[in-house]
Amino acid sequence: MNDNKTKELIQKSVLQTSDAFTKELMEKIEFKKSQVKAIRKALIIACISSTVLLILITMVPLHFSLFHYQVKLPSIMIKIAGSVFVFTLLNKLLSLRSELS
Amino acid sequence: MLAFRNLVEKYKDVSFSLACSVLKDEEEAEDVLQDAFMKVLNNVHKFRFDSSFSTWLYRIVVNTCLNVKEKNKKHLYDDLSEVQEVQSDDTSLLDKYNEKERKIYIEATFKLMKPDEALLLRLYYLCELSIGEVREVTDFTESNIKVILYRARKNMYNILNKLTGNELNH
Repeated sequence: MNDNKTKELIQKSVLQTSDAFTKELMEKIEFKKSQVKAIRKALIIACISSTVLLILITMVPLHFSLFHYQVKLPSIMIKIAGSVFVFTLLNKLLSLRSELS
Repeated sequence: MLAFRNLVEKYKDVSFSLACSVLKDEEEAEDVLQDAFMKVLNNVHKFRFDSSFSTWLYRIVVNTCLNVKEKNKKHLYDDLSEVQEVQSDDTSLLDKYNEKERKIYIEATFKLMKPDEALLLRLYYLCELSIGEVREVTDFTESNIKVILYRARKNMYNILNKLTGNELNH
């Protein structure tokens, strides 16, 4: 079997991408870049708002009246609920960011 | 970004041929190739100069294609490559055709070949990688590569013979 002939045949039959390939790729990259930027921004905002939320949660009054009833909330419950919410939010944002990058 | 664009322009066609060898679908191969180039851009800082840049790039392209293929579980063409053996290995069998026709026959032949065989043929003859570099890209052993290459060449000519023979009978 002629090795050179095989090489020549294969090299002459190189496939070509569509004309818009490079343009589409560059647009995809730009789009992804802007998405990553947006996610980063959202992450910073989420971090700040989570911190504020955590501070507020710790300051929530645990005794208040609702329709003439006196409500007593255990402080630990509010803290746990708040923490779960904040960490779920952060986890979602982080996984979204790693998916995009 | 201009450097990256130039890099894409330089390697896109050969990489596309490799992607088509594995995926056998040009539209899908283009999409996967775009993902592969994005991986290259995101991981270029990890390139350690242990191998040539092209070998590293082809490895990313091949791995991305194999991952997609694994997900899709498409082995549609695997059975089609079982072509009855023809004794002739005459390399001049395409001489009577013009370049465009030849290209069509070769493309059709590669589509009918097993993905492993088509990939190795293109890595070895089109990308002009050495057996050692092909091993780096595919993770096959060197002896395995030699065996597959031998079989691939044989199958390529068998399929070509069959295709051109069928054409002549019409």
